[in-house]
Amino acid sequence: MSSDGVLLTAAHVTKHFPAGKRRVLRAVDDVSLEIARGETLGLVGESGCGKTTLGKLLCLLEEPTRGEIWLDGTDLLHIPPNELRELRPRLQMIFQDPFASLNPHKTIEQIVGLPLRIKSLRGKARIRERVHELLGMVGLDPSQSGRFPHQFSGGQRQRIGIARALACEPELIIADEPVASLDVSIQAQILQVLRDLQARFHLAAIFISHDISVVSHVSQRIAVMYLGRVVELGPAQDVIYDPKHPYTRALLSAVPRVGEAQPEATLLPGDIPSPIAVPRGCRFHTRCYLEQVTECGTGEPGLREVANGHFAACHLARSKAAES
Amino acid sequence: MMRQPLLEVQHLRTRFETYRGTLRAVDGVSLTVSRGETVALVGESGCGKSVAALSIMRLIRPPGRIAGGRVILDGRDLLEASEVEMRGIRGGRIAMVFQDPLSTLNPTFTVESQVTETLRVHRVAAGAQARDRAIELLDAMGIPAPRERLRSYPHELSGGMRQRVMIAIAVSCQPEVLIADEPTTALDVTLQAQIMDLLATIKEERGLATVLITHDLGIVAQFAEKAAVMYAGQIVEECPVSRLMEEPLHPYTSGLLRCVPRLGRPDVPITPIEGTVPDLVSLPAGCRFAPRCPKVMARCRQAMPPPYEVDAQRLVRCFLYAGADTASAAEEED
Repeated sequence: MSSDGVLLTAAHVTKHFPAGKRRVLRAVDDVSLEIARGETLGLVGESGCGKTTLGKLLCLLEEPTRGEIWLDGTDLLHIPPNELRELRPRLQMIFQDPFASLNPHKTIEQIVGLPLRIKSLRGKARIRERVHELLGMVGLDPSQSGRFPHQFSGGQRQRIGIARALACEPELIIADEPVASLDVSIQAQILQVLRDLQARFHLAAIFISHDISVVSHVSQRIAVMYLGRVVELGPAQDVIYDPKHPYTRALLSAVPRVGEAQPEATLLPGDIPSPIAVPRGCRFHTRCYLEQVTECGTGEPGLREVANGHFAACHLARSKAAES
Repeated sequence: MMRQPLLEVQHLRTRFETYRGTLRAVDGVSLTVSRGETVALVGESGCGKSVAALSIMRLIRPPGRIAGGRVILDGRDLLEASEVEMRGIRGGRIAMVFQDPLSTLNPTFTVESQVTETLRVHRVAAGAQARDRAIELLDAMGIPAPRERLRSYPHELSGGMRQRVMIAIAVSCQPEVLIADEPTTALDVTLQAQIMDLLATIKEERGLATVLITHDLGIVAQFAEKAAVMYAGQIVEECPVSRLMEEPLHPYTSGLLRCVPRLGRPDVPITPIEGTVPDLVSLPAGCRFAPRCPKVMARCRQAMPPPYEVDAQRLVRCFLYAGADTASAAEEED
């Protein structure tokens, strides 16, 4: 897929939630990213790593504590609300749970038609026509548009969610675990729909998932998150075949492979620390299996370019020469 | 190398009465598991794999009922056993680990009372002895500071720790068979690796016969020796895992494998299986996969294919292999 020009830029985006007793939960900590037009960026990490919060921040469903988000040269956090309202349709979200994200009291036509009415498309017949067109695009039978969400299966509901996101003709889709609640045969159907639509409309996408196999299939670049930070970012194949951060290596080794040899598993000790008590220094050092240097316990490593376009936040992954 | 089967399930049928009609959740499932062997029961949501496990444990409650078949443990048919006898077998000889440790551990009791309860009920140990045994078990499950953890309540533990407690309870009475129903589905992949590693170690040390129920073909590939693929209440293919992965025969199995995204291999395309699983109340005539099958033939829509024995290690329920049958197809009951 061609990538011509930056669409969305996030700079030092941070989200802290108050967690009582003057403590803060550091959900997202100083994340900087860029998405090019038509590009798919995979955002991968385990429960509680902040990937969903980051997705919401980039879609402006949450306001960052610090940082900037730019869409096509416009600073989204510092423009008047009416201007922001004009820009919002260009960013759309697809949610994980197709049961919770569709209003059970509304018909499919109402659900998919709502963004059209907000975009001031007038006339029942015109809205219906467009809804039917959208349903056709995601592989649903338009004659079923009078039905309610509970009359559809999980996979079909996810298609409805995609049709609703497409109604606004967005440039960037933020898909938060869009296939996590689906069986593998249905998951494959939804991935195919997403891929076809992306190619057809030259859509950029942020694909958020805990499943690095799925992410490796749909993304050109992958960002790996751990405890609120992006610890590795690079071209998908480089991250998978030549991971630079010890966490990424452990994550990859833990994925049970189908149809190929399993690499020796690197078992990480213990659980992910709480985002309320983030370890000092490198936040991964409490579970790291590499021989550590003093800096690991004292200084937080930033993302550094360790190979062409390939970044890692690790004191030990410093230079290209030292690796390999 | 033939091993003596420890658990033998034959033509098991479990049904649920619903307002819409009879739901055939498990329809003629046969399976054998030997000591020290892991057999995976793999399939998608609603294929009947969990109901099959509950049926083996005789944990089916109305409106469900076991309508037929046999579950033979070491020569004894469990479906004939009395309820009192079953209470000794459950947790004693056959233990189960469930998917969600948050809903299977009692939130109002401490870890100590839940681990020692099994020991007391099965008269393995009581009092201080049970407590010591519980500490040993938690320690063996890799739980740090086991003595302190006894006083914890489930909500105070992480997901991985809760699953370790569940496994400690399951193995506390030295069972011979372990049924693990999606034991790592609720866990992140690095925790999954820890728990699967623990289960593999336990199996190795104790020579457990394990039934591993999962939807994840990666887990099957890495942790099971034999796999039985279920679709709409039936086993459609059964064979050693390596052969299943290399050369799946049933169109559903090969379709399923083509749906799995391979890590770092975007060049291996993902091909969906079109359509959806049939309604188990109104099943199609003939083969249950026929409406979605890319290789469907006229006879598939008329008659149900029996499991054909393609070779000594492999059963396939598909008419494509009718000619390859080495023995006469296993007789179907009802």
